[in-house]
Amino acid sequence: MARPSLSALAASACLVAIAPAASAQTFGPRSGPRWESPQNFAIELRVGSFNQAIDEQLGLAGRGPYQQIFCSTRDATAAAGSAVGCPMRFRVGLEGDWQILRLGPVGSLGVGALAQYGNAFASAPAAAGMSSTDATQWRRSAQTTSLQAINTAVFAVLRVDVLAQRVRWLPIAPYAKAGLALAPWWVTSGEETARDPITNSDAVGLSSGFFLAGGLSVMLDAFEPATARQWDQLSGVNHSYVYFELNYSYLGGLGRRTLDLGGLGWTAGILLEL
Amino acid sequence: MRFTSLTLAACLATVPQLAAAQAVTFTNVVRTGSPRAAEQAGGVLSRDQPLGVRDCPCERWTFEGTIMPQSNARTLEWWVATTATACATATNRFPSNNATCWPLSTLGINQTLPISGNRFSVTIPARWIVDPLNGACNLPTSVSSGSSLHVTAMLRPPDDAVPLGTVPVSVNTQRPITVQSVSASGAEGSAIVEWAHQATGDGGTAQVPENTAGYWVLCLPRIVGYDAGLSGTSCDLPVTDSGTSTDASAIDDVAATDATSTAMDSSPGTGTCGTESLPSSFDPNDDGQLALYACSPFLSVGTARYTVRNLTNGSSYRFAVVAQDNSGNRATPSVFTSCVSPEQVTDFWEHYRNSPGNPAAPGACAVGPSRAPAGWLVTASLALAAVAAHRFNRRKERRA
Repeated sequence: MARPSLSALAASACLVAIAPAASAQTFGPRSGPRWESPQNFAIELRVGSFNQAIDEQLGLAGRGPYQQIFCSTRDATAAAGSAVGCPMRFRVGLEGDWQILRLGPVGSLGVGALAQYGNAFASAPAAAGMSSTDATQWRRSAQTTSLQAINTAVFAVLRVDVLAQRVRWLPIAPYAKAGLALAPWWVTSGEETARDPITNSDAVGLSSGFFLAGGLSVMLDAFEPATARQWDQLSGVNHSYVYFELNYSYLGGLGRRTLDLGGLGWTAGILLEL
Repeated sequence: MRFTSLTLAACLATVPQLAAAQAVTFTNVVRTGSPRAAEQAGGVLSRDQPLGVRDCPCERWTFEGTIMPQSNARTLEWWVATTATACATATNRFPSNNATCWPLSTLGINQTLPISGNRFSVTIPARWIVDPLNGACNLPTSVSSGSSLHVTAMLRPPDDAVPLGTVPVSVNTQRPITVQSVSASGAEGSAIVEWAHQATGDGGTAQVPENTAGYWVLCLPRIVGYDAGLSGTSCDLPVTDSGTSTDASAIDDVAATDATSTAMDSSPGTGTCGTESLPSSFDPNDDGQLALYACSPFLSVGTARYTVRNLTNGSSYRFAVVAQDNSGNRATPSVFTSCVSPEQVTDFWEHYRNSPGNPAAPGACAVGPSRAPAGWLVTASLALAAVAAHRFNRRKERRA
């Protein structure tokens, strides 16, 4: 699994390498109309799915420890034996981009970093109540157990905003991101950090891998151009967007196997270009 | 101006108690002996804090001050009244019916004048302030909890005694509302106790009762060796009165009896949930008794869940919760009557490590940092390349 990550790195490096040539023609602090303030950064508020590939990594997709612990608790109101599907869990976080290069009217190329926190909580099963092969039949205790992680990534980001800038009736700006991912994680048992049953050390770790994303953002300026202009003059916010993104991250380890807190997921949020 | 002065003089002449009230000046009021004092910043209860149930049995109030020179052979007497002026009216004074002013003559603290330097210092057990007739911490029926009693200095003779000065003492002997809906469930080597504590507030909304300070969780059987931070003593007995009292030993004797009468068996609990229960004589306002059963520190208001740790898996326990108000008064324990057994649980990591497909070697799945410096070196290189590109373009722009 290390190969794809190297490919992604190579792609990122290429993007950065070709950027100076592209920007040499049109680079400048002002890429839009004359009244616009300089634009160099972007910040994103992100809400997305808490995806992970722990069971898949063990070859136990749909029946592994994550599924059994966090996705097989019965709703108190549900009939005995009926399983409740894995509840939707979310990650929330922030992203900051430095839009280093302006690629003429086409878009911008930059580097970014993000951090998103997510967790999964469930009642821990009683050890004596796990005899059934069906995890929904397990007897749960009042004690909770959780898996919590902060997914981070650094990446190159390409935003193509030519349509949003030039075509008023089509204010969309596709974008792509590729880079490296790192996720510190920890498991709790009750109110304390869980212990590893073999090493007796704290159940905490650091997963590493790569991160890819592609999305579509809709420029909100098109709906209220006067307000957008005023906002830029007052606060320096050049453009605002809402966006939806599909992302894939592999966190099974670069060089050494780690808990895979990656997988295919989605993220939505608000983007401000400054 | 002259009219005002004349009016004032006339008033003073017609209301002698007002003029006389200036004859005593209180310079200091000190509270000692309450087990609650240790919970206060500086270890001292201020005179403004209400006198509560836990203060009453053993606390002492010392009043210090000066008295203007009086003619000899008069007596400085101490009374307790419902208002600052109640003792001024003869019909309010005990033993009249519906008395609102009671003498503390049984304490032997009255003093014949003159006194040395015209300075007095009198110590009155709190239980006599609360219960001036019997010293048993029972408020007179005409007094409601939450109101103030007034320690009053009087001069006799003449028979129509006049209050010389008063000190208000706020009294709150009302127990808080008991905790509701206590429940408990077993976890690994522990139990999770939850409760609700609500009263109907303004506007009919349910809210935590006003004046609530926090909670204690009690365990049955007792958790041996647990230190809840309580003093563990029922009373901090006073020593002697300073100066004015000639019968201090009598007061001490009564207080000592009170303290020992609440002593309980402090041996470790050996029973099980099914056989142990709080004794019928259990008094949560007695720190010594509460310390035997408390298995939590004092939990501040707003807490509604507590995990009792260091329990034995497989054993069974019963739990209770006691509310405490800002005056230190504690409510009757609310007991969760079902037995709860802690048991071993399997957390996610334990289950993950024991799952098929997981390499058995310790650390195989990155418990601890993974080795990924190479990846991050590439990232750093990317960042450096980006900065270089940016500078390059800036330079080019300046040239242009």
